[in-house]
Amino acid sequence: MSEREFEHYLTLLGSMLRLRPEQRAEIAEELQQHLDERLQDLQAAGLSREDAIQQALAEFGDAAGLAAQFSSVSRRRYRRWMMRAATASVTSAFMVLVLFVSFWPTGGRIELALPTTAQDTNPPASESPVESADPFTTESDLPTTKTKSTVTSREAKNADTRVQLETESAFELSDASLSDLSLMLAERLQHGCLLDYRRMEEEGVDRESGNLNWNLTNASLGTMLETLLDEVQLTYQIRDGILVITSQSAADDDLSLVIYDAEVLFSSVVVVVRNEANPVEEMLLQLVQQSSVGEKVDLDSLRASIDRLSEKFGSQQARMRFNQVADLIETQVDPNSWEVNGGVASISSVGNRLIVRQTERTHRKIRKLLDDLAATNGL
Amino acid sequence: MADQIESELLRGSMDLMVLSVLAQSPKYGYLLQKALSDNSQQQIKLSAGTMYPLLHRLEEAGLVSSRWDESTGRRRKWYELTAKGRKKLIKQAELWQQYANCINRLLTEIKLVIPTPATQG
Repeated sequence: MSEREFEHYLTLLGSMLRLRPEQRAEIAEELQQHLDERLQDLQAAGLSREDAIQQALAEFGDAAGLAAQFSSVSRRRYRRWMMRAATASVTSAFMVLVLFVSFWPTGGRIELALPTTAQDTNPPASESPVESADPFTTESDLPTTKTKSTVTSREAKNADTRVQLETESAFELSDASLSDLSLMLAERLQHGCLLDYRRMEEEGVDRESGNLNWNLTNASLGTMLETLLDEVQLTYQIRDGILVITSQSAADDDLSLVIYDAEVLFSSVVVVVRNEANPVEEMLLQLVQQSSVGEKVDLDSLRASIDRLSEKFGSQQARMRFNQVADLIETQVDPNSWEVNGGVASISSVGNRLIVRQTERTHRKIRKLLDDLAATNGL
Repeated sequence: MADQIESELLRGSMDLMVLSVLAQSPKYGYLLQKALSDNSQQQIKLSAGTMYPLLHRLEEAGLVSSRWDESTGRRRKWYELTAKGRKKLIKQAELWQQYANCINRLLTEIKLVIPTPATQG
């Protein structure tokens, strides 16, 4: 009799534990031992077998509450595991970069600041993505945005220039020539400015003709530059921090590889993945609880909770998924330039990083899109 | 906020109680529960539903270790304090003493203040 009562309780408890089967079995066995001993003691104290069973179980409290407590222990474990996994992925991403650089055709030119700890912590798994990384033998600047530990001096300079273009405001121009513009920029920008004369001449652009005008000083330097250059079929690229004004067609032939850290977007996906199972689990839990207590399942409240859960579930699903980011970029940023649409640019991913081969002009748009996405997500 | 502090305090003190009872000798759950009750003159009754998750949490934190053993004639899961657990116990016990002393001092002052009704603001 007791065996069945206890068994029923423990089975119920087990069904609610979000743990691996062997962990469940171990907890059940431990609690079974406790219940048996308690039963013996209570009977020795003079209680009837029936009463002893009831009391032993009552002392344990309801199975759902107990299950919740055990599960919270395991959730802590899960969270710790997640943190370890995140650290590992950052470390392995770093190793990819290190190996990346050593395979780089012009590797000698790149200075990499190696944190000394990187060697001890690298997981062996970090080797594998490198195989796939090998084909990326594009010339031009190295990764990445937002990966602080892996900043090459070159990328750091590029970033300086990008920041300056974004944060500094435009200046007034009246009937200025491209040469004038480049001189003014050279004064303003930390790493200087060059005109790609040859490419410009190929396009038939005269660097000395003075027809550039600008008076919107509220705009950023970057906006001003983009607008002015666009009018004359020119654009700019950033090389070793230097702003190079060149023709659009030259820039379009020049694909560069950038690794975007989409972690901010990815982090919301972790939430989604973890919660995905929950509505189902919660439903089952509820059913188990209600039916085992012998209560009639209240269909209306059940339906209400299904609605509530599916609403919750739906809104989470609507959140940005990491693997949708690539699709988004391909459809929203210069759609025709991508391989899938007959262009030459490509996009792929390693872990939670997007690896994008694109022109610099488009890279700028992607950067902006990702920033905006992160901002609107409130992340 | 106050509730949170209270439950933190309670949880902290329960950890302390369990660790201190385990410091005397390794125990299985049922024995630990009885020892706790006996040592506190039946003042502290830790329910099984609270104790087992707590033990598992302590084990997860590396403060206690467990093993199954049948040498007592019955297969039971025995818990034992680890070196880390012992250090933690000593540290927590000190903190607890400081805390208790501090409260005691405050309570002594309240006794003195009580005759004159609190003048606030």
